[in-house]
Amino acid sequence: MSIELAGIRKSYGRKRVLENISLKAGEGSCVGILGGNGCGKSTLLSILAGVRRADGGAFLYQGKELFHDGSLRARVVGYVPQGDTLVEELTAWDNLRLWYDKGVLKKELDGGVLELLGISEFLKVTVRKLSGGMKKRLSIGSVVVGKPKVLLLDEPSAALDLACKERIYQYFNQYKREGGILLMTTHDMQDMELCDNCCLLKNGVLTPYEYDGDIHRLAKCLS
Amino acid sequence: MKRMLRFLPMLLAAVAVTLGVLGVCGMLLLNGFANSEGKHKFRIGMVGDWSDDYLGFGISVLQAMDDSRFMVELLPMSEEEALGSFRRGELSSCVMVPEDLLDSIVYGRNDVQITYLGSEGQRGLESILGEELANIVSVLVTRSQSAIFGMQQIMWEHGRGEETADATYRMNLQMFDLVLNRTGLYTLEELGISDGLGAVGYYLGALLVFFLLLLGIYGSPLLVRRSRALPELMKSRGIGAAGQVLGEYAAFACMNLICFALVFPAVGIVTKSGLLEIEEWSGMGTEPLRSLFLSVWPTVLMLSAMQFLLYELVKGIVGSLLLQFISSISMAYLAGVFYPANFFPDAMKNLGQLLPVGAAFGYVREGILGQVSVGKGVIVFLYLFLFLGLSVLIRNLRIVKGRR
Repeated sequence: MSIELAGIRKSYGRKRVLENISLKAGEGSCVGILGGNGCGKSTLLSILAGVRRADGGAFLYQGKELFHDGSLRARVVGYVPQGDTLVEELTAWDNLRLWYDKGVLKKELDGGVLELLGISEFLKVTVRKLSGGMKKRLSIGSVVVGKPKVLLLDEPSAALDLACKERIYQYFNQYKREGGILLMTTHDMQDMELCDNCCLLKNGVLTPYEYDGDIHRLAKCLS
Repeated sequence: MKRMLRFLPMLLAAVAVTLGVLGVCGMLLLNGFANSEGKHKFRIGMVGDWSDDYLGFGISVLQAMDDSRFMVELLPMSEEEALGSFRRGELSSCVMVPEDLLDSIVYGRNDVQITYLGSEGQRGLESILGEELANIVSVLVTRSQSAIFGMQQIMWEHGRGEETADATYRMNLQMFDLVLNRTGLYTLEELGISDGLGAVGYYLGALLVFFLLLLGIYGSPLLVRRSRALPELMKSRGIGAAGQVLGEYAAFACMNLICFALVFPAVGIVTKSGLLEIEEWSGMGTEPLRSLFLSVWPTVLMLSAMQFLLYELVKGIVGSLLLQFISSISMAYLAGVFYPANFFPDAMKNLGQLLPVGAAFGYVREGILGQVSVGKGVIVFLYLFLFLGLSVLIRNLRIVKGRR
């Protein structure tokens, strides 16, 4: 199982945000996309998720073009946007029920991904009363119950405390072990440790980056 | 739908309060209408030389004997006083009788005229009646005097001058008997405020439309506090802008329909208990209510779509609520919800009818009369589809361009 991004381009008016983005990722791998604010990381993920349309290029899964097959993409790709994707007035359970049947959820709560993410602790609580970490876990949970093969994460650990990060990383590692492909944008050093490969997005161009823990070198590259 | 059900109890509480306030306002308004018939008084300033016996007598008789529907108070005053009072709005109009008017009449010159002073651009019922009253003064006082003086002249010329006093007395009696006693000379038939609908029916429709507009403001929690990333997630899962808008609109429209259905029995209670008597419904049982209920729901759907579009246009609680409020009030005003549109100039009136609230109000008025036309129904549904289409377009732009 593998994915391939081939020559993806995107412009907003005259501003070219993404130029000829190409990337390959194999089964059980995690690719981190690094870059400054507003460099186009979120735009790239939203294009891969089918939210926005690319001006050109291809997104291949097992050799099948996903840009032109919305139903396959919806089955294969799971997308966790940066902001809250939850309905504040409903409980965690109601939010999950927006997407899945009761039976599926009960199964995942009993030894599945939802248990691993610790969602059963606050299942009957209204989302408005949840902490940021709980909301993020619930957002991820509401996507991964569908067992997507490719998970697109837009800054998954932003503003989370260590305990919460730990819980999420635990799940991501299991996801990788099960053969899933993770593609995440991040500014977080801990996130990068989870990644097998890193890429730097600067001026619309994606280049491989060997992360060695040297933050100063990374900052220099980003500036 | 689940969100909508969460908001519904709160919304119903707000609706109950609104209904009470609107009900009281409506009753006061309509009772005011009913009572004003007896109390409305036109004050007309009369400027001229009232020392003349005939002219003074004519005015006194006119004021004492006029038992027409709207009472008139004729106030003798100087020109300065009259103009001052008129500018301060204390007078409906002024009638200026020149000093040499009587001489002009007596000697048949007809070169002096009575001047009527009204407000420019004021085309309400009041000014029209004011003009009519000026005509009455002109006709009754001057023509009768002209006749009396003419008769006296003829009698003197034919050597019967001694009999003029007796003849004048008899002519005055004839005038009292035939001219001034005008009670039976007219009948007033009301064709209603608009579309042949009486005041009570008209304002019932106006209150219904205003209530529906308020519902949109009360429903704001459902549409304002929405997750900004949720539309992106839904799009990534194959639910596009159209699906999102239709789903959210369905919940919003459903909420408004439920509220409307729950408060509609109140309309039945006040109309059937006699608190509000709709002339057009007299002796028709509950059929008009059923017909009104069935004809109103398309306007509920259309106004809900309009409000949905406004919430889609502007994000943020303050901005969206202000937009809802200002657009609702201004469109309701132009559509004749607060004042009958007949009071407005033609251009404004036509614009008001074309606006969505005007179309909805027209449709509701037809519903009250039980004569819903296909044309108005088509306009209502065209607006509905237009608003939904625009909402989809805006939602799509917001998702695709990342405009939050």
